[in-house]
Amino acid sequence: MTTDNQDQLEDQQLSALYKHAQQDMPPAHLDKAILTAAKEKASPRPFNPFTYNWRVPASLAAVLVISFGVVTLVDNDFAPVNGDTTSVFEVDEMPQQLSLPEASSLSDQTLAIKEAPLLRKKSAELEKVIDQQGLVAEQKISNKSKQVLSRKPAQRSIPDKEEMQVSAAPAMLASPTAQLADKIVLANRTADELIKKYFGSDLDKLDPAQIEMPIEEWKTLIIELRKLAREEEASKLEALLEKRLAR
Amino acid sequence: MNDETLMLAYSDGDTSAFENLYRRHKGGVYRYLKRQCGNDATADELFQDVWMKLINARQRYKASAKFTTWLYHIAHNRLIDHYRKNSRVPESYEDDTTDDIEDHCSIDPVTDINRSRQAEKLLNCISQLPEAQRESFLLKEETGLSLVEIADVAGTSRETIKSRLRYALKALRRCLQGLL
Repeated sequence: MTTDNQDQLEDQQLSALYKHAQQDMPPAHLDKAILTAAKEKASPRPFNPFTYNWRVPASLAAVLVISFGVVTLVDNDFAPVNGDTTSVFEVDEMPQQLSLPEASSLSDQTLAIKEAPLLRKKSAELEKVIDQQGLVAEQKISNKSKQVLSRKPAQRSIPDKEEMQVSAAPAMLASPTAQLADKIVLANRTADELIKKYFGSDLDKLDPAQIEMPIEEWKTLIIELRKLAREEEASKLEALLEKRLAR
Repeated sequence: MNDETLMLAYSDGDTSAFENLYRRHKGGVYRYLKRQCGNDATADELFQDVWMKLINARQRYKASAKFTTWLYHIAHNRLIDHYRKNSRVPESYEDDTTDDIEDHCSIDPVTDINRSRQAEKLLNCISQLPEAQRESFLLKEETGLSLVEIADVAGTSRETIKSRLRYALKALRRCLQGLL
């Protein structure tokens, strides 16, 4: 027991003596090297295009290139068929040629009637063009629909620009026809107003001497009524004109 | 702030936490390595390797492990690697021995020696201990770890460490006989 206590005491002395001997420390250059390494490792890594996450920007670039290619191909598919372009662009010139006068002006009204044959001709041409364009557009819409339907549902959920353009095509093509129809109606209405203004409602009971319409305009009106396929009224006005001239 | 908290802070990028840890433990680790390998240049190399291993393994550190145990475990493994590289794994690690320094070290008792001289002689005695005993003694003195924790560091059992430590102290007492 005494020996154990003695050993314990000596162990404590050994420990104290060892602590007194603790003077060895690492050299300063090691301290510096280790602390520098610790800081470098802890700081964020610098951007390196070969090891960093380059996949995201590369994927985005690839998507952009592919999208551009697809859009270009689709645009080429929907380009006008040979010979169609001139017809389509002629429509844009028509408003100037077909501009109609105001109903309140007599001479302008006469002019509108004079334009009626031109309107009909243009209308016929446009209808042809529209029929052709309509067929082409329908065919393309059909093809496009097949393409769209063949895609996955997720891809079809949002229509792209080309689809929207195709779906709008019939309306765009129909608008010149509507314009021409309006102008023909206007020409008819102008003729009606002239007849009502100078001849009244009942052409059969009129006295030609009381009609104030100038002879030249009267003749023009008759011609234009015939062009508008209003033969009955044209004949009556012609009979009245003959009576007036006979006097 | 304790060692474990500092190490976790360093794992999150706080370099000042590492500086604190390094300041606390650099002396102990350095002395442990130096007295185990007995060569300043080798000790420097091993010391740097140990801290670099710790830096590189910072993300794997878990607070459940005591930092000192983890640090000295790295140091112990590096030391064993060094022994293996030189084809000289000390026998004392393989088989506990009762060898002491009595045959290798005889210190003439000098009664008027001052404490510094005593410390110097103690270091001389320590250097002559078998490696495994010396390691147990150094870990006990430098880290203050318990027997179980020292056993964790050295990869052996508590009883083995207790035995090694007992032999080491006995050898040192004999070596310093008359000086204590």
